[in-house]
Amino acid sequence: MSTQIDLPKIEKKAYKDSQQDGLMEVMMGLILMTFGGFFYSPIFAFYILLIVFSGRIVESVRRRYTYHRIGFVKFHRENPKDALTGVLLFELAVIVIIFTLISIFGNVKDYSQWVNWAPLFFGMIMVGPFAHAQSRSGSVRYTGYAILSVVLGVFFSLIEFGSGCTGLILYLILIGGFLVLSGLVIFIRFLRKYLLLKKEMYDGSK
Amino acid sequence: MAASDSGSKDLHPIAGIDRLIHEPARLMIMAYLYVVESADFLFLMRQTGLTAGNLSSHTSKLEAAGYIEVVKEFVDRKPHTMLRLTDAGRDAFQEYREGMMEVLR
Repeated sequence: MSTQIDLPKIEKKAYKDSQQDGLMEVMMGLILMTFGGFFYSPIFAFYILLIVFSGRIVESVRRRYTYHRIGFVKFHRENPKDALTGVLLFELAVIVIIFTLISIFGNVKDYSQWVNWAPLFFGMIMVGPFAHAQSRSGSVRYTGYAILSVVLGVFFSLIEFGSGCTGLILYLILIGGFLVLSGLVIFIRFLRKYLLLKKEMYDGSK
Repeated sequence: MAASDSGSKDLHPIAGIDRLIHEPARLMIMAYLYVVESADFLFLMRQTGLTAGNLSSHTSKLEAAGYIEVVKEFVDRKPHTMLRLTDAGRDAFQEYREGMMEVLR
């Protein structure tokens, strides 16, 4: 037996396994795609509803497909004050980086410059949740998403597009679409890997 | 006599190890429940690799010792078993870890 019980490793494994259905990716991708669509047409304003109800939607799909296969786990709640402080500090750092980049390569007073660099801004903002998921689960796929979101952000910020928000719209739809597709592939693999068990085989009911 | 006293003192931490938790399967269950708030029977089964019968038997022992709480509830009109560490179980597990570290030091 190991001399040490590696609790962080156990916690990471539990978290990673609880997220192996890919549904968070699908939901995040849908939000990003509809958010991108909103810059094209106000019809897509329902992205706000997706954000508000994302937790409930994912939960209801999980109740139907996930929990019967791998079980349900509830983690300790993170301190909301710490989480909020972390998010605000991270966003402030991103704004400072974008501000510095625009100062170096353009003019901070020019609104169109901020629009041009918006894909990188969103790409860097998304590093936050991906880094958080990576640190909790130890899964490299989140590192991949973070790198991709920044690389695509740089790419779409440097390309010249005709009208103002085109780069941002394309970026959000592309990264969102990638997440949706990636999440769906993970979800299908998950369904194939974990077949439904009969209730009496796993519930422990006597 | 002095040597014997010294020996029993050295061995004291081993004698204090909680045998109920020390069993590998139960140790796994306790460790998983320690890092989460609660988990259902299936999740623990998947994580620990124990069969339903084994898990049920070990959780019964832990429940009898007051280390875990087993809550049977209905979700969508289906029975659902949730397990969580009690405060006593959390303390016992922490004590077990400290005791083992002491022994192995």
